[in-house]
Amino acid sequence: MDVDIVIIGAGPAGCAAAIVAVQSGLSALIIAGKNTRHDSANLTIQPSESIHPGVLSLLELLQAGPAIAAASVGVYEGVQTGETLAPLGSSADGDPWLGNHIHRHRFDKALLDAALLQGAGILQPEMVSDLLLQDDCVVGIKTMSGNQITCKYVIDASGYMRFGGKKLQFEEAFDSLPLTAWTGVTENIPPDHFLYSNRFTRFIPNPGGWTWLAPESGGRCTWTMLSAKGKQSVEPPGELTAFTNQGKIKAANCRWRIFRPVCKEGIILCGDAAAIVDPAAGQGILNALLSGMTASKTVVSCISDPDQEPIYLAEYDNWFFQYYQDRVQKLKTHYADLGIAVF
Amino acid sequence: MNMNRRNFLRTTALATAGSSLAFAFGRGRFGFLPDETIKLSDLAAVSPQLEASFQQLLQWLSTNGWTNYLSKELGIDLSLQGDALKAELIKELDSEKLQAIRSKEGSGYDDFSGSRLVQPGFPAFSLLYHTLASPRVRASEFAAYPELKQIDILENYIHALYAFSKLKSDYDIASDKDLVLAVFAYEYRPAFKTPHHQHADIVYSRTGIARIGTEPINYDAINRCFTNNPADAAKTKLVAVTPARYGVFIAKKVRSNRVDLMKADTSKPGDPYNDAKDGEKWFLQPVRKLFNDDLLTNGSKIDFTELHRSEKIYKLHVTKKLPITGGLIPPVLDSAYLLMQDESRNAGSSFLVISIPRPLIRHALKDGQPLYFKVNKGTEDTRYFNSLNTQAVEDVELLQLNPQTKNGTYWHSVNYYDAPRKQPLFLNITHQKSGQSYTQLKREMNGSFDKKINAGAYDSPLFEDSICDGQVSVNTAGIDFAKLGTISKLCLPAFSIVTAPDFFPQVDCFDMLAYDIAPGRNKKDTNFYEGGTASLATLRMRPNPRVLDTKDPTYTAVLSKQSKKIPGISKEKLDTFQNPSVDKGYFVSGFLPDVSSSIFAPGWDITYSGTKDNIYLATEGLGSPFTEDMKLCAAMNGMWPAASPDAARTYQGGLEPEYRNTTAVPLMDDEIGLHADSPGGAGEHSYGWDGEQGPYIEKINGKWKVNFTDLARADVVQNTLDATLDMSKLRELTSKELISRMDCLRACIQKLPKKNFESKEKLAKMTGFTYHWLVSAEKANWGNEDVKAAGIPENLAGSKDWISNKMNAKVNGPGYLFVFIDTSKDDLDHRDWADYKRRRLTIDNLYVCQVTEKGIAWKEMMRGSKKDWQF
Repeated sequence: MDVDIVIIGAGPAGCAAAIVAVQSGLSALIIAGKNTRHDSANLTIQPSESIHPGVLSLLELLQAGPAIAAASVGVYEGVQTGETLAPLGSSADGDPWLGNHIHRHRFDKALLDAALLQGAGILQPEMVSDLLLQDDCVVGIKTMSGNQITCKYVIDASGYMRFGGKKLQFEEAFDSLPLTAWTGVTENIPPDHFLYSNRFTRFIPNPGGWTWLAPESGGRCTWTMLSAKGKQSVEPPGELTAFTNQGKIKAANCRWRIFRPVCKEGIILCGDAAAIVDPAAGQGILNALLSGMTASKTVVSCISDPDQEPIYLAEYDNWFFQYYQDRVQKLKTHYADLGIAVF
Repeated sequence: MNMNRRNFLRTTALATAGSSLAFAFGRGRFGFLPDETIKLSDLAAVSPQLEASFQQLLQWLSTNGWTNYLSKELGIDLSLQGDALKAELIKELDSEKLQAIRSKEGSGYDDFSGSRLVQPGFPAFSLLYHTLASPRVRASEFAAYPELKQIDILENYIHALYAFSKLKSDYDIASDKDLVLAVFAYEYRPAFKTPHHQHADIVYSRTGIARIGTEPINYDAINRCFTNNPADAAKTKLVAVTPARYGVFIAKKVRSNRVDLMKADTSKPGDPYNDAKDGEKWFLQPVRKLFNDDLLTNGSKIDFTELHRSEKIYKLHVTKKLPITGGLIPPVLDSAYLLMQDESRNAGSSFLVISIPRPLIRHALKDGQPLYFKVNKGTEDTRYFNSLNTQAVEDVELLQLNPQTKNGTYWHSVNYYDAPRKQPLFLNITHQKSGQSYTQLKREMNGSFDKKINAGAYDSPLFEDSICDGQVSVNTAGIDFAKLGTISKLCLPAFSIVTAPDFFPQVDCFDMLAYDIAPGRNKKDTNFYEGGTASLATLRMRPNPRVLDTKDPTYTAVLSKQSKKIPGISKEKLDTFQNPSVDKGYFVSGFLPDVSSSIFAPGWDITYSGTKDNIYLATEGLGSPFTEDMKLCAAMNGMWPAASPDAARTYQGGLEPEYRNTTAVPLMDDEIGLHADSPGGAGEHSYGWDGEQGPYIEKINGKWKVNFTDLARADVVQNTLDATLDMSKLRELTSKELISRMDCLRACIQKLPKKNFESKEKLAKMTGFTYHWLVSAEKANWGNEDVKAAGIPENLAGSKDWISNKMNAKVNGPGYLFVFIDTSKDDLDHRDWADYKRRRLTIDNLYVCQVTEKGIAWKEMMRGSKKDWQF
């Protein structure tokens, strides 16, 4: 056995899983793609992501609390939908909770640094090419560069690549129409623009999707759009066409979907690798951290008490499915209220 | 690393391939009884200790008439010894005699499903077990009924006789890895209350519901259950604690299509925590009980453990910084304080969670010092009637047009569970510190009481109760696993809820399903404006992580083995078992989650806590003390969940005109309390189940008025302190009776002129929306007996003979006399107080209804009493 746990992916889910594993005394090896997130791209302009204040408490458990401060490019007090302002909440003393717009590369880098500092190993740049199976159980991975790494468990935190579920041909259950989300950054927005009238992000619904505007300091705004109409209209939102669009527009398939199951002997799927709900849920990073931590705890239980492995896996599968259902139903309700018909 | 671990995916693939395939993989006999002959040589050895216990049980059966009864009815000889006795136990019973006793009216065997006295490994299919454990088996020959410990011995004996290897084969268990030790709450139930309604069966859940009380536990042997009726007959108005019983089992991981689950088929689209997607989840099915003196564990002693906490008052400090006098921090109450710790917990090899009998509510202490808190200033958000409201909660489930359908159907809006109650939602503040103790705030006819409640700034005593949640587990260090294969040495604990008394112990939410509206049901109308019939058994939410380390959302599921059709049970019988409105003939009581209410706002038996993204079941958000919330829930048509008392008609006049819950499950005048000044109250006045009194009609200055209790002046916490709650009023009510009442109420609302409360004016004609106020209700036997007509004043229409004399009845048979009124609007600025807590409203219309389940006659009384009866 080369290592206790191989973790595919160095995003929030993978790092969270790695940290829980090493905190539990297991060896963890992160397979990080050739993605340049963790080095020079650090300083380039890229779309930021908005994270909920609840993320902080999870990061503190992971001893990675400073990741938010390291990556923050702005704060917000709530979400404005039409004329409705929905604050995130406030502390007992009445101070508003603040959400952060984060520079995702810096955030991931800080989280990865915390994982490495706590003893996780990393193989980078490296790509997983296949899973090693024995008696229908996952017992390790093969990599693009020809390595074979055996392990007690694989945690699939490969994000939108969804490596494990595809490789094992798990079924996918769908809860929405096919959805495309695309995101970009616009600059040179004047300070008197409506976006800067308060510290709220804007959510603008339309019958086939929505637009999300996350203003940052320095006249910059990350925007994200979602549509059930396919990719033909991948353009910046009308509100911002007068200004400069910066960098590439990135698009992704955001159809709400979950693999069934999300684990089997030798492998556990977490984060986007297990289930995707579109970014309006606003919980991509929260979900990644929570499910990465839970997956890792489940692996720790399976390894320390192998006689009860199917029972632990059943509990993870039950929990993850219920958690996904919760997000789907809440988003459906929210969309129904706003007249967004994507399911 | 062990590489033979394919079970998780193997079973997964099976489930996703389609449920119809699943059965093809099972053994032929999996459906469920092994039908081949059982030979003596097939039986597993039983330990001498268990054999001796069984012999003692046989001796008891002989002494108390049971042996003779079985001999007379079935030709069984229990006086045999040794192998001859064992052969007698396992032989196929004479099929004619078995059918005869099943068919015999009142025998209690009509829902028995087996064919032997003992079916090794399967107590529920063993006639001897059914005889002892079914509350429907009773005979004049029996001199006494068995105690729970005796039933426990028989359970153990039946399990002991069957080799574990055979059981694994029967349950199709390919690998020990699908097995785990787990604690379950369990009951043997007649077919009426099994998930499948096919036959009597053992029903299990990973959650048990014990209940608090003032008196010690009381086992009602003939009904084979614990009752909240105290053993001391002089204390019948009080409440005995009721325990939940737990056992430890080897359990198998299964998909939902391998067991029968207690389901309501009422899950609303959009509710993320319902049971609609059970097909995607895993459940645990008990396979084999573990017990003391069990050769399978080499005689290991089963050592149960429990851990419970009540954080209700502590969380007021943590989340709300409740300003406690002297800066004291309210304590977390623990098991030692809350639960019995002595031998009474052990029922043979099973375990009872028993609340320590105590006054229902008490002044909370910290290290002996009584706790007081400074009441905050009231605002719209921080007061609800005379309660302090700690949190804005909007996840109520109101009756409304279903936005998902276009044909004008109704539903209860979905609860999105987005307001976790991390501390008690409602706090009592009707008392204030006075010297070394406290007194009730003075309630006067003017508004000084309301002003005081709203102004706050006084020291209110903090009350505690014994409601808590926790876990029950088994110390596996003391168990010898040598013969258990590779089963893990961990034990999965059960979730244990210790909650409020059950005022309707004989009625549960499932009894009322057909009387509520829900997707998937044909019912077009409902009595319930708010809440409804949701049961905890259909909720899929993880238990409190502070007492139980799991994320599994299936803990409150209630299940049994998959049923089989029993050839000897007729279709008529099966229909009867599924009909909640038939007389069941026994005291129907249980401690599994199906008899418990689901989450409402905040909830009666349990509520949810946590953060928005991570919620879980917990009791910490229930009212402080619980009777504060009980009053509010009862006023809102039956505490939201259906199977709990309904005091809506006590308070109806004081509820908001645009948001006005009507009575859903009518209680009779005596049950809600008859005021001394009411027409029928002279000499017969009484207090209701909650210590309050109902409305009545009176004539003041030539005008007809209704005189009623104002919800903001009622004080059920004081009633609880005074011990004026009366459990005896409702304890004996059956589902048959309540269903009849609901049917009759519905019939009246359908016949009377439509009048909905303000915001629902245009909506359909149904009880849930009606403005008609049921001001008096009396049981009647129309045409056969006179009625008292206690709710009708003598001077309403001359002598009461026109309504009270049986000769004047317009309908015939058992039913009710219902009196409805419509009132003028509540004028908030000019309230007409009758005394310090009762008010008056002017009556605009008055309807008298003679109603039975078959017919109705009604008469409008106010605008000309000469109007004729209408039908």
